[in-house]
Amino acid sequence: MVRAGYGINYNISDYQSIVQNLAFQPPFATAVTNTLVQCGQLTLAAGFPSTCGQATTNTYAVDPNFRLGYVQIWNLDVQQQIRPTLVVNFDYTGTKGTALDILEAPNRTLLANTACPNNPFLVWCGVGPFYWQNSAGSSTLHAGSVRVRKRLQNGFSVGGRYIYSKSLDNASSIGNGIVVTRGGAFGGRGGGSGGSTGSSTISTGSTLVAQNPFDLAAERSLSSFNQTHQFTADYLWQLPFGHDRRWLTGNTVWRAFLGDWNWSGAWTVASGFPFTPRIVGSVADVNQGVNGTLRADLSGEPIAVADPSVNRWFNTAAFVTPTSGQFGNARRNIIIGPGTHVFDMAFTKIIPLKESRMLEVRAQFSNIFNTPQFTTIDTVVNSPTYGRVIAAGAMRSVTLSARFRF
Amino acid sequence: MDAKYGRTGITKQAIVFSLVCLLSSVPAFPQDTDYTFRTSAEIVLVNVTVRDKDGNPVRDLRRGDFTVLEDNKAQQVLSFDLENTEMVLPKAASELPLLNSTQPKPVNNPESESALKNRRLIVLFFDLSSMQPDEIERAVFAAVSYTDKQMTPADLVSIVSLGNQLTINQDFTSDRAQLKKMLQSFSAGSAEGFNTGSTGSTEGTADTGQSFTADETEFNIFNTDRRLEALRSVADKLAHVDEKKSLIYFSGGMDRTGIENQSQLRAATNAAVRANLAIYTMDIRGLQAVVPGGEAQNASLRGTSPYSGKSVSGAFDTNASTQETLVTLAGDTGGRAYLDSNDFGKVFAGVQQDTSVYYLLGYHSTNPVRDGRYRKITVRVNRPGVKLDFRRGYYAPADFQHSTHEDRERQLEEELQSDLPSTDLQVYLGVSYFRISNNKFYVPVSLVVPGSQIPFTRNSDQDRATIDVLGVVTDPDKRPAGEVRDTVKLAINTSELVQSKNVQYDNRFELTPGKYHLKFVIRENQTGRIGSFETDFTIPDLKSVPVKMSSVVLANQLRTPSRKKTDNPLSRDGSEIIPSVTHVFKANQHLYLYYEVYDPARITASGAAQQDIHLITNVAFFRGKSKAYETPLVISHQLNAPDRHASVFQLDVPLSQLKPGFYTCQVNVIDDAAGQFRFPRLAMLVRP
Repeated sequence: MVRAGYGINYNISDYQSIVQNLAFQPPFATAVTNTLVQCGQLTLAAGFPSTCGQATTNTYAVDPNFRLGYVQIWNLDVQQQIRPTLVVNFDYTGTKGTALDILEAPNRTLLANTACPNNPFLVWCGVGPFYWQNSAGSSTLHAGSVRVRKRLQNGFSVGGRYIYSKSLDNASSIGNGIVVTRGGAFGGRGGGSGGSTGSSTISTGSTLVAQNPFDLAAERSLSSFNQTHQFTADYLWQLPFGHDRRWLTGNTVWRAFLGDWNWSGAWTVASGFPFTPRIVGSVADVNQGVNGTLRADLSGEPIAVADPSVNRWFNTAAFVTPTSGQFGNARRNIIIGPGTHVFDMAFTKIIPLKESRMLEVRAQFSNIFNTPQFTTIDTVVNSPTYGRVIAAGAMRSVTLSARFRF
Repeated sequence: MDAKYGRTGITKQAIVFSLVCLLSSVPAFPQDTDYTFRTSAEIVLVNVTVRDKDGNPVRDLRRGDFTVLEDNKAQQVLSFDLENTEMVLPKAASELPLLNSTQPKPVNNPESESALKNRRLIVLFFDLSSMQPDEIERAVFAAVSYTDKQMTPADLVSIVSLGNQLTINQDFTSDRAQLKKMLQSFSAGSAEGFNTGSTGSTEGTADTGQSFTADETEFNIFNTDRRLEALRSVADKLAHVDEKKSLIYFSGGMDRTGIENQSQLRAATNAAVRANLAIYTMDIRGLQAVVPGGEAQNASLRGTSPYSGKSVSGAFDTNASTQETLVTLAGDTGGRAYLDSNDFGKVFAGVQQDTSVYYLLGYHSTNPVRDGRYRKITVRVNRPGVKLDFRRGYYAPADFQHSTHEDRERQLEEELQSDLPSTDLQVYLGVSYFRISNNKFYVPVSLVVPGSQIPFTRNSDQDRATIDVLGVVTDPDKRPAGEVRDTVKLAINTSELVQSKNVQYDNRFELTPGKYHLKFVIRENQTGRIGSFETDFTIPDLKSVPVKMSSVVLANQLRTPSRKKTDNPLSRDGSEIIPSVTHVFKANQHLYLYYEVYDPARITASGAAQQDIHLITNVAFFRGKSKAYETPLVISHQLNAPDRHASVFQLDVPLSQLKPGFYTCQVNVIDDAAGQFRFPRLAMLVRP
């Protein structure tokens, strides 16, 4: 059986975030931060001097030719039913994102602008650092998958799926709008890990803003949600003991304890999400309002190490701080973070009561083997914890539940 | 000497409870010395469809060609029959109300047997709750074209639908016009196919501009459970028909939430297997391409899912999971699943093919144990290259020891409903009435079972047994007026030789005057023997009676009441009368008579106090026509139960005065103040 499909999806949530961002910009809203140093003496009579520092205080703008981003998805699936309960699928999926959002910070220069005494890092002195959202981004994904499924029959089912995929993009945000908070620092996909959940909130120290607005090609890299290998498997086995089963059908103590159990589980193995090596807190970046966008320089050493450990997940010597006044030449998302390896298991006992009533008692184990799930590594070159794992996922947890159906 | 026993179970009306061994009273019922000759012919029937390589039915097999194994033990085939639904001649449309029948087991009805011979029973199940409007139209179109073109005279078809509730739209019929009419009544508007509810995460869901996505996981679980429960209840309804039945389930797929629906899914397939019901599932969505990014009527998806390919992968997962449930339902019940096909007529052809020609093998299981367990059936045929289709097992009948608690409760209920009395356990019942207030009567009920009938298990120094009691009082309109459900544990000193005594169980109802029917079912839980006793009784409306009297209770035993405060009139002054149900006494016993007179007239003569009454009573014993003995007169001037406006009499007659034999005991009550009298009579036996 062959299935093929093609679809287009628009990123319609973009408009909402643009409106939200513009709503906090002059002339719709004016916010002034007056400090004694910048504005001279403040008096009660003139507590809100109109011009203080810059003439233009906007921090956000949208390209007048902005187009809504969209993605084209195509898919080809070949299904072979080997036996009535055994099905194999071979699947190819491709996506192409067009007109995706890119956030730039155009008002900055690498060379000191002597014409600007207050902030020599800006191009236009009377204008503060601001962001420029346009729709020049794009993405491509190719994914192949194999899916095998033994459908549930006679109380047993098992299935697995393997996906091999690669996704590239140069966009600041995929599938979600960008919300810029005025006055604060900008941020977002913290080195990439946030991308998997499509997070678009901006937080301190991010690479959301393109490093160099004049070299967008340098932004093209693995997508933040890219996982090269993904494997999931699950099974369910209704143990053949108890009511209406093969053994222990009698009304015995043995059945009361051992009968009517279901044993199910799910196993997930996947490669890690990618992270970007970067520099935080460079004076120029802070003054340009793009702190955290500066990437590291490659030193030429290999990135991966043979034995990743919590203290040194990748070769920390592979990246160095770029020369002052220059952009880093390392690409986005080139450090592959820790992978996922989780085994969940559940034991369910179904106690049939009168008629359609039944009591279900279940012990659910998440991460039953308590495999450490590292989620985030520190890829900030000038950070004291550089190269280390700085966050871990859920430990083993057990949920006991009883459910009465009637 | 009385024995008190613990009480288990809670009943609606049972407040007073006593269980008594009548120790020195009467010999028990005569020991049951008859032997029972019992034969059971439990033939296990197996339908076997035999098809050759090309799928054509094989018709020329003989009995010797088949081997039947039960739990891997060879069985002797006793009956052999080739059923051929193609042989049914066209005749007038026939109807069989199997789904609506309330009779639990019309098995031995020869009429329905012959009506079912060579018939094919098909249930069309429209799961409206899972179908979109266009899918309903497709399903109806397929079913109508089946009735037009494919339906054979052998087919008996019924229609069931699940919308807001499970509806039996049409019971089994071969009337095409009627079926078509019913099918066409399903309009596209009756579709209730909802999209599967969201799970609280916005990622990958259609962006409808709403900022909040509800978590409808529980709702999804409930919806699927409801569909499975509907299938289960249809299977249960058809369980009493032995023939193989087919159910065609039209559905737009059935989603499952993780492992949450497993228990209900298993309950549904088990019920279908037990009912010999094969479920054929028809995915009415047909062959569908999985549209990347969602169908055209949906909004664009949120989040990165469409870009990362996760939305496509998820759509395939959902499609596979909704189909898997259909495959499980079909595979585990002996049916077939029809997925990914736009030829919806195939399912009908499949059902007809599976049920057109089949061999009906009958054997008597070599395993005589009636343990209610599932037994695996294997059928082999000594011809290579053929494909066999048969039910994979059956449930052995269960005797009492192996029956479950539910079965036992059902047995009691069924016995209560039955018109025929059951006499395996001898039981006798006595009922009397006493007025509590103007319109309320206290109705004690006593059941007596001979101790010899109860098989006690000996345990150190005590004999133990439990009996179940279920009783109901109904008014003439069959409405229940009172119910009793009790399990009584007996533990008696082995030295007390309960075998020769009776076991008495007392309970009571509170009723208003009127005619009643009382039925009690009692079962001893060792071998499961059941006895029932039913009787009509009337509680008179005392307003119109000259001398307002309660019933007269005869007794030979007093005991200390089990609790101090009770509204039992038989319990007075620290002793309680145990009513004698049998009215059989021994000459060395005392006879206690208890009765009440209500609202006796006041004396109006001057000089007497306003409260004074004048009641004269005594008891006379007649043997034949001659008076054998008469007690002295008892005269009462005061109401001794003023709260009930009753004058209570409790007489104590030593039976040594009477020679053994039958007596008529006449209670004389004269209300001298009113000038009225009553002489109720009772029969009794005095044994030496």
